[in-house]
Amino acid sequence: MPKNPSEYTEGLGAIQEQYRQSLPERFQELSRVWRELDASKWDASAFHTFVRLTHRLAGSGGSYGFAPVSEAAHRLEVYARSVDGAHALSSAECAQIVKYLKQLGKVVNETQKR
Amino acid sequence: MKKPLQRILLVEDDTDIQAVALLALEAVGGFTVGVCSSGPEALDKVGGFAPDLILLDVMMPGMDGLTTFQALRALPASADIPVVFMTARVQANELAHYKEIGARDVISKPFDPMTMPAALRAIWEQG
Repeated sequence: MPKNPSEYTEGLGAIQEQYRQSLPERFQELSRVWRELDASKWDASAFHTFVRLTHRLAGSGGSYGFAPVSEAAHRLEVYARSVDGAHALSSAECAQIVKYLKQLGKVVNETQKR
Repeated sequence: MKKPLQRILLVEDDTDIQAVALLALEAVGGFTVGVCSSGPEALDKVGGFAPDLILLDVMMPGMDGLTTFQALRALPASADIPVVFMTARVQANELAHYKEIGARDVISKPFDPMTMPAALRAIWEQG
């Protein structure tokens, strides 16, 4: 039982709603970083940013009550960390990341349905 | 009898995690919480805040959690303060490693804000 139940309930409700509303923008940022990764001029730092953004979503989603977001972001993160981000990814690797991104986008969209 | 856990220093760069952790620790746990967004800030703040326990994120930009941990151990003000790491999806071998280097325990992310304070209390009581 929380020490301050009403403070907890109201507080959690408020930050959960803020987080929920921010999810589409977070996903759009993640997608944008991915889209801007150019195979002909690979930016390993940008790919590191991409991985970091997925890590943040994976770590925070569940704590805000959006476990499917955490799960989908975690799957994407695990795969992104398994490839060699220092060099341009293969077509197969890119396709897999796009697949995981789409899955993540789907669960993000679900959070917006009320 | 061991004194109850009261003061926690939260070291976490992610503002989303900061917000929900602060709510959990203060409103659920009733703890007094100091918040730092980086390892250097933690090293600067730990002496003045005098926490009972430090909750330390592993993956932080710049000075990461492990480096921050070593630096806290080297400071007289924080050398003996128990540290609990916070990290995503910790595996059993990682948990063993963190404990080998001297961490008290590890909390996995994402955490449940309703139960995380009790988990920290249990870790404190076992020490």
